Amino acid sequence: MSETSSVHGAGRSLSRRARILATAMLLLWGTLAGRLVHLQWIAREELVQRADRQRRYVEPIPARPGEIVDRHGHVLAMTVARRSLYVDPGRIDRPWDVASQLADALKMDRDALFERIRERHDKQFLWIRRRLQDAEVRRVRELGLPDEVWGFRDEYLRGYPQGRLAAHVLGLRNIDGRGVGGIEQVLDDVILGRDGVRVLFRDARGHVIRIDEDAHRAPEHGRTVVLTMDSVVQADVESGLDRLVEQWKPRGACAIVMNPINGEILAAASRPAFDPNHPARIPANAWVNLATAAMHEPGSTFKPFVIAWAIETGLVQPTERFDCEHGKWCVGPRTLHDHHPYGELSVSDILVRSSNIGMAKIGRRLTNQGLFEAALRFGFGRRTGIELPGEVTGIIRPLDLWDDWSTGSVPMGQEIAVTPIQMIAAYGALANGGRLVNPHLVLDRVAMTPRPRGRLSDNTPPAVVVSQTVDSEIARWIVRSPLTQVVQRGTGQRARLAEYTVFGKTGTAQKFEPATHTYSSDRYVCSFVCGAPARRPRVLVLVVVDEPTVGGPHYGGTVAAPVASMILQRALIQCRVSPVDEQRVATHGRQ
Amino acid sequence: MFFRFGSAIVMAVLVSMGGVAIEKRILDLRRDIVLQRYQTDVLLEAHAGFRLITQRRAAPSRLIESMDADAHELRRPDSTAPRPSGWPLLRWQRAEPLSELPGERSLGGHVSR
Repeated sequence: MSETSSVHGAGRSLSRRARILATAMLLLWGTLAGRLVHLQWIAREELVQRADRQRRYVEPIPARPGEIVDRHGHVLAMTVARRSLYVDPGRIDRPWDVASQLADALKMDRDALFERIRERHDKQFLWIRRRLQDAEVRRVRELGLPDEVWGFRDEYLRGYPQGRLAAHVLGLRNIDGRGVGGIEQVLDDVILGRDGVRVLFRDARGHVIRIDEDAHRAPEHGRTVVLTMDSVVQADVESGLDRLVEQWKPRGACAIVMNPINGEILAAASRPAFDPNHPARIPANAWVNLATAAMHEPGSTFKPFVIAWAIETGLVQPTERFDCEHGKWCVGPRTLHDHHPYGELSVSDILVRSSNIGMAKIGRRLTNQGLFEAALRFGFGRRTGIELPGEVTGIIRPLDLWDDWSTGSVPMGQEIAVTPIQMIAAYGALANGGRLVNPHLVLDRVAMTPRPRGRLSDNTPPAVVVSQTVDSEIARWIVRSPLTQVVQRGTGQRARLAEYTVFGKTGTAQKFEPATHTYSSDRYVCSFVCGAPARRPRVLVLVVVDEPTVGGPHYGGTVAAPVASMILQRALIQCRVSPVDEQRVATHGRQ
Repeated sequence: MFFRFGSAIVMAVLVSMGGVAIEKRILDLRRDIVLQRYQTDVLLEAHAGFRLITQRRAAPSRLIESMDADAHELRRPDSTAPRPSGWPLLRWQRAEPLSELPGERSLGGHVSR
């Protein structure tokens, strides 16, 4: 009995153990099944996404920014790839060792670099230096730092192979590759292009195991922008301005060269200048492009427009003569003076001698309404639309603010403010038979480096004609008669060229003193605008000098004219405008 | 029966081997494409680098400097004939047909270089 009960007890115990084991197994399998259900059903989406994130890596393929080239294909701005160095501060065991080695290789400050790495020890990425030179890359590689600590990334570096040439026109690209200033800013979207995408699959260790070709999207590289500029003319302009700055030490200066027929800007430069290859060294006052973003009272360079409009409206005849009061004329409370006393002067001589009294008398004929219309008709008071950022409109006050004083001031270029680009565009209208053409810089936008466009041609696509300012005969008379005589026997004689008939106009504007509300007697804006050949103008040059500080006298004819003349001569040669051509045109004209 | 079964097996093996070969070829081609793309990028970068150097060295401003130092004589043009368009190298032409040159095959006329 006892044996039987013992066996029975053992069987019960076995059964109990088996039940426990079965229960445990059931629980275990149940848990596993539950976990599987959780993984495969409930958390499926999240886990799939996480796995995808770990395996799949979308790598951007940066688009190469397009080039900027001049009309002959000379590269003004282009892009090269450079390596940028980064570290993973979280994986650096000995920050000081790494910092000191890198600092020595890159000629950086050890302590500053160590501090940067230490401050970001909980981060996984830190730029050490971007866009390294080849020698620096080699030195970093030779350090033999652990692979998991550092790495290179390719970035594009914008290079300006011509250095300071046309820096204000080009602008530059900042460290993030965005255009700042000039064409780089205005045509940023065109030049920048669109990044591509490459999809990679990686294993658990991060090694690339497959490239998804189907998801690959090639980058759309930026387009090349062809400018109307001519690098040789531009270099002449830069060289001339440098000499002018050295001689007269002005606050600023600028020069523009334009083809009056189609409004193409052949060169434009401003001082102070900068080298876009070294953005950190650019002084604050060098950013302003005086050609478009600065305005000044034009002085005598405004006079031809008043006369042209007076003749256009029939209020003055070209053959008329005006009494210039022997240099002193009292108009109400105001007394006007000329530099030299003149008696009677013809309309032409009023310009040649730059008589303020003669201009004031013409201004009285026109009245304020006529003067206002003249300014607007030649494009003053509004932007020219040139493809540069920061262009200002100049100042033409509302007509109801003009008074009797304005009738005497505006004809001699006071009480209004113009930009150099407006001024050369307006002279372009006179040189172009009265047709005001908007000045422009962009010749073309192409997908690759273009073929050169050849010489300056009249057959280039027609530019947008803004308006007919005055009758073509009047414009031709102004250019061929008074403006040519200004250079031959007037205030612009220093701009004479032996083999070309040059026309031009000087301007010497006193600067306004806001504190005293008077015009300064020793601070001037000197300007000179000239062009050639007078019978068929092909090139226009404007030089504006803001406040020369040394030497003297500071007249447009002495400060700006010699440089403008040099630029004009070289531009004519570069544009293949031969004196023979001028003589032939003259002969045809006579026939 | 055995023959049919064996034939089916052989067919299946042949098809799968063909599939493997095609897959390998596809992978090879993909690798080549990636390599070519990489090589194109490298060449583009090299081209850009050299272009930057040549443009720097041929900058007109350097020419102007030497002209200002009277190293070159400034000569006015004696003709207003337009400059021929296109790169100079593309305008050069052989005077004689290629067939007259030893060891070269005629392309049927003058060629531009």
